Amino acid sequence: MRSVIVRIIILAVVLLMLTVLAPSSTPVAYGECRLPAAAVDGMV
Amino acid sequence: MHEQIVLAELGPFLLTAYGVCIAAGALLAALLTIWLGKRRKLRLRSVLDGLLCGIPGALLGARILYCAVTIESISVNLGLEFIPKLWEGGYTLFGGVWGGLAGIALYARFSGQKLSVLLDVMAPGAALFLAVARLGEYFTTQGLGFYIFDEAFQWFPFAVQDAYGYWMASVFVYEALAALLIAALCAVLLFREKPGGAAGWFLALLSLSQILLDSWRHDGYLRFGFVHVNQLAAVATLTVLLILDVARRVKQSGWSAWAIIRSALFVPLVGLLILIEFGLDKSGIDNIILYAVMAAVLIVMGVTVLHGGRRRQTAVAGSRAEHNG
Repeated sequence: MRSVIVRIIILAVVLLMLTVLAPSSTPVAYGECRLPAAAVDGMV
Repeated sequence: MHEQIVLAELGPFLLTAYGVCIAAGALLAALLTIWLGKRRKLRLRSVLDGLLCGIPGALLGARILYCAVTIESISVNLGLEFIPKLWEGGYTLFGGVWGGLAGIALYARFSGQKLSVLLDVMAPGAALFLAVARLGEYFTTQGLGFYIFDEAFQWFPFAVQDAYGYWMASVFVYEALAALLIAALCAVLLFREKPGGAAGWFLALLSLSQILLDSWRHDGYLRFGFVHVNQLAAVATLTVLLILDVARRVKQSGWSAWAIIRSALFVPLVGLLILIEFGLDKSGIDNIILYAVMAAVLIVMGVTVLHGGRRRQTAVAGSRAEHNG
C-alpha cells in the first residue's frame, strides 16, 4: 500500500511539472507570432 | 484565439493556459487509465508504473522529434542550449506517441509485464489526453486551418477567430473530436479485441485521421517541403503496424492472398497521398475533390492495416472463447 501511495505522489508531481514543462507546442521564444512556416521548416 | 496566455511567471518557468490544459489532460488520462486497469484486473502498481514511464517518455519523445526536425532553425534562431530547456516549449505529436510507447515498452521489458496488455489499457487515456491537449490550443494561435469567408459558417466550434479577428477553421476542435471518438472506441475494444488490438486501433486511427486533419492546418506546423512532418510520422506508424501484423500472420500460417494484397497495396496508396498533397499545393483541381479522394485513400489504407483477414476473426473468436471459458 505504501508503495502505491509513493507512486501516486510521484505521479502528482509529474503532472504538476507538466504545467510548466509544456507551456506551448511551439517555442515560447517565437512568441506565437505566426512565423512563416519556412521559419520552422526542417529543411530550412 | 489568443496570443499565448501567461497565468504566472515562476523564475524561468511560464505557467500558461495551454500548460494547464496539458496537465489537466494528463490527469484525466491517468484517472481513466487507472479505472480501465482496474476493470481489466491489472495491479494498480503496474498501471501507475506504466504511467510513470509513459508520461515522461511521451514528453521526451515529443521534444526529441521536435528538435530533430527543426535542428537547423534551432541552431540559428535559439541556439543549441535551447534543446534541454523543455520549459521553453517545442513539442510534436508523433514524437510524444513514439516516446510514450518506448517508455511503456521499457517498463514492460524490465518488469516482465505483457506489453500488449499495458498498451491496450493506456490507449484510451492517451487519446483522451490528446483531445484535451488539442482543445488547449484554443489558448494559443495554433490549430488553425483555412480562412472562412462565408458568414453562415463563422461560428464556434466550426470556426474560430484568429488573433487578428479573421475567421478560420478550428482544426484543433476537429482533432479533439477525432481523439475523443478514438478514446471511446479504444475503451470498447479493450474488452473485445485480443491483446494489442485496442492499441493497434488507437495508433492506426490516430495516424489515419492526422494525415487528413494535419493537411487542413495553416499554422506553424512542421514540414518537409510540402509534406507535413505529422503526416510523414503517421505514414511511418502505419507502415510499422502493417509490417508487424503481416509478419505475425505469415509466421503463424504463411502467406495468404490477403497478406500479399495488403502489402502490395500500401506503397501505391502512400504514393497517391503524396500526389494529392502535391496537388493541393500546386494543381488547380478543387481542394474539396482532392480531400474527398484523400479520405477515400485513407479508408482503404485503414482496411489494409487493420483488417487482418479471416484468420484474424477466428483468432479473436478463439480469444473470446478462452476469455469466457
